[in-house]
Amino acid sequence: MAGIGFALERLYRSTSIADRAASFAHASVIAAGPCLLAVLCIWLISATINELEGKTTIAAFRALVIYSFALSFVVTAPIALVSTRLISDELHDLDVAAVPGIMLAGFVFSAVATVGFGTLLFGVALDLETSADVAAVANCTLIGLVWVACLFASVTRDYNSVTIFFAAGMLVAVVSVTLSYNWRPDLATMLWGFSVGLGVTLFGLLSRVIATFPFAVTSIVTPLRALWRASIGYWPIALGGLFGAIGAWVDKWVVWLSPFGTQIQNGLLHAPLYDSAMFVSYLVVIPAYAAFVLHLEVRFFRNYRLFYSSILEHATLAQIRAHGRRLRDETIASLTGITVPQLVICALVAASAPALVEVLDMQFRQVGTLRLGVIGAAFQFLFITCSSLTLYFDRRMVFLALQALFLVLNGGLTWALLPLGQTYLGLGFLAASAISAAVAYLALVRTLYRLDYLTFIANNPAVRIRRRAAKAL
Amino acid sequence: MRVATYPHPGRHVDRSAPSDRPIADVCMIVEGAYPYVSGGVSAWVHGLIRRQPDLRFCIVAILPEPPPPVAKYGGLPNLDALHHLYLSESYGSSGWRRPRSFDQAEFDKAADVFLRGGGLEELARVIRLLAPLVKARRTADLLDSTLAWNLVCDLYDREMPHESFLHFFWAWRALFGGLVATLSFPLPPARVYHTVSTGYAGLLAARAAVETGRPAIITEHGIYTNERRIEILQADWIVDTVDKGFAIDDPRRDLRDFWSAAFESYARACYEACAEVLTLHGANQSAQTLLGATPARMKIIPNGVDYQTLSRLPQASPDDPPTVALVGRVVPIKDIKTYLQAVRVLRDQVPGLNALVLGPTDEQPDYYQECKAMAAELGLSETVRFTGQINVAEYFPRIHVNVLTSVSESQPLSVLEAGAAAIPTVATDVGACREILFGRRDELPALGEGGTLTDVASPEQTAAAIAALLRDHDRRQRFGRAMQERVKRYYDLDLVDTAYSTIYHRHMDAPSLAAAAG
Repeated sequence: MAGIGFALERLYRSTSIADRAASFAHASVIAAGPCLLAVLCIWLISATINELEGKTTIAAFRALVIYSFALSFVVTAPIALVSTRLISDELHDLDVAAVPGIMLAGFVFSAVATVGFGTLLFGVALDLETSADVAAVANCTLIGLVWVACLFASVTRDYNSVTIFFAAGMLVAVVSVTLSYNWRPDLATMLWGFSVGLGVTLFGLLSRVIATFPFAVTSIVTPLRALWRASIGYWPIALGGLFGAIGAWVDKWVVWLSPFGTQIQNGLLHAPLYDSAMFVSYLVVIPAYAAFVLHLEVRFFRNYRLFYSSILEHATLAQIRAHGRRLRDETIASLTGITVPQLVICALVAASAPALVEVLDMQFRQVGTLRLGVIGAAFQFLFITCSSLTLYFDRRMVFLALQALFLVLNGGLTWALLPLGQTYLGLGFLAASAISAAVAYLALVRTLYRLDYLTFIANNPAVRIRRRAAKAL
Repeated sequence: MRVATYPHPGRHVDRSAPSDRPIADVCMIVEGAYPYVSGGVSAWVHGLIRRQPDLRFCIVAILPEPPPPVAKYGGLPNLDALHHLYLSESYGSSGWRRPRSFDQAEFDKAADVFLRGGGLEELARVIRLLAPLVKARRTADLLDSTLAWNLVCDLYDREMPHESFLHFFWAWRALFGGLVATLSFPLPPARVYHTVSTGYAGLLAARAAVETGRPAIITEHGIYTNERRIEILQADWIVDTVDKGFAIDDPRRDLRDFWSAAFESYARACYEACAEVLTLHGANQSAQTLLGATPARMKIIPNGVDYQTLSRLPQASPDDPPTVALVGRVVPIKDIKTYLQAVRVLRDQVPGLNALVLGPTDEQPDYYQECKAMAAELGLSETVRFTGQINVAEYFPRIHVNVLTSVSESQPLSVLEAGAAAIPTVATDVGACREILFGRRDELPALGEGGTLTDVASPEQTAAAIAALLRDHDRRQRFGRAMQERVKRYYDLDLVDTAYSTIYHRHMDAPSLAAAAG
């Protein structure tokens, strides 16, 4: 008998609902933590070493480490985000054995990219001695691999390992850099000393990752191909990661290249007045990041799972919507509950900036930048959390747009407001962070209010696959 | 034959306006069958087109999704085009701008009314509301808009708030998506639209009648809505969340009701739109009437067989080794296993028995393997032979009794073909088998029995009936002659072809309704 009833079952069985983005989104949030620890580390190194008179080695070392952090962050961010997304997919599909291969592929891509770009920057663009050049490239590569390892560890929500090994590595770095400077005060020695600390972090994280996924990698070609294909498939995430990484650094680059930047030696540019004020600002928002990770663990993830599992367990629409409302309300309440006190703290820090400058042995003319930076960092926290949360709901195009917005605003406003002078350095960052935070917050709230529609239609892989199949004809 | 596909307006699309395309005399609309399934309706469609050489045909083959499977039938000289309607497509692009004249809220409401139990009038309203979007080729995101989402939520809250929403969502999407695909598919121009079932094919025929004003006709082999209803009731992928128990007045609806209501709506619209509601046998007509078919438009045109050729075939001699045959595809609905069990019983009673299974074995290979294994297990390897696809005329001269053990049939051609060759049949009492073997009530003069009816899945009855015929040559001859005469009088292919030719020409020459109204 003619009839198409047989097709109905097949159409009906497509119940895949996007929740695989969850563990991936954790990674993007947790990435901010180590970044802050790195800032703390550089500040500690500067504080523990008394520069010999007439030498600028520490300044050059600090600048090189900052360059390494910036370059490795920018280069590895797209690779790390795409490979963690791919790992999340494999975990969702319960193909745990594939994870080590993808991680290895992520390391290979990151190492190759970082060595390549590091050689261009340190070996070609800058006028470094060969020994310092090699040490800087090694340092940059290790930092890049640490970023990637951090994200891999956080995919399994192994936050403690990330924090402990990063803190331990940084502690070792501070000690070994201090010792090596006192033994032989040149750039290469200090950089290798710093690399020892990075090695501790990297291998510590790797030990955790290997312990979690104890599977042999039989072929590297397959995961390399898979990662390459994923980079194409998840291009908004890769590009968003790249924009986000550049956005985080672009205000510094603009200031370095402006009249406020100075050249130390070997062609190294930096803006010590701006940089140190901004780094201190980032440290002020550490409590907010910690509270947010706690919220993710305790409330958000529970509500998130409840919402998606209720759908797959054939709940009624009323039940699904109730879970969605709870997820929305508690997320907004938590964000408000964390951001508002943090803004109050930042405001207090801004008000007491003159005293803080004195305590931290900074210059009084940095007060303005510190004030603007502290408030800006609070808004940047809101921006990072809101934009990262959109990834939980697989809103990759929204994530990309937000990162692009912040990049453009941070670069553009910092540059445009340079004529206002030293006192207002940081106003561009503040304005960019505030505007981006507002937009990201609205995007997140809009996502949360349309969660059922997004889950079932706009963002449903089963619907998307059919749409793509139709277009592919 | 030109294969025209209309998968997506952006690519590979025949963008010529309908009036630019050659107008077929008859556009046949086939769902999930021709030319991708062999036998049954497909064979009927192929034969009908082949035997109307003076008419130009095109086919709309309705499939769930691309790509189409391998065709089982080749082209025909008078078959000009094969169009594919994929239910997973929306036949339009998406875009920010929609025609202002399109009101999605109204469209959604109208579609809801139609799907919940409407008829032709409701369908016409849906078509009218959708027209601006179809014209602008902007139907792709019709299913994905927030308005459509609100519709499905409202519908769910109103109809079955106790159901699994996930299941409801996919049910709605499949139904609504199929409706959108069918209503936005570029309709090939034709003088007559001929569907072979209700369902989506019937829906397209109804749309063609409404949009073009050209006549639509339907020839229903089995009752589509009944078959879908059975399929839906048996579907293990629909979760039962409403336990109605023994309460017959429980007003709550579940997903099965939802599906059934939609298919009944399609059928109602189709019957109302069709100028001729044809079927193969009388048993189908009551079901058609129940869903709104007008008795004045209803008619029976049975399947026809090539009487002239088959009646000239020599008959098996009583001295030949006793041979029985089941002519049909090796698929579960034919219940080949009951046939094998009957042969097992029969073999002990009829020495030297040959049992043939004459038909394609590739449609459900797993079932074929099961049957072969069963034959071996029953020790029938020497008795039973699966021939695969063959020309039955070559085998009929060796066959004493034809057998049919199907659990469901419409009007089995194999019984008619065997009858034309004066071979009696033992058949299950399904579909039109009673009518064929014993004659219709209005058969005057009565021609007598042409075989024996048995219960479904009853190997003992089947074996006993076959044995009785094999042992009694005179009875076999008598039944064979009755069958041959009945086929000559009612089921001769020439009669059927003439009937369709007359119907086609009458409707082809008729002015379109719109023109008539003008």
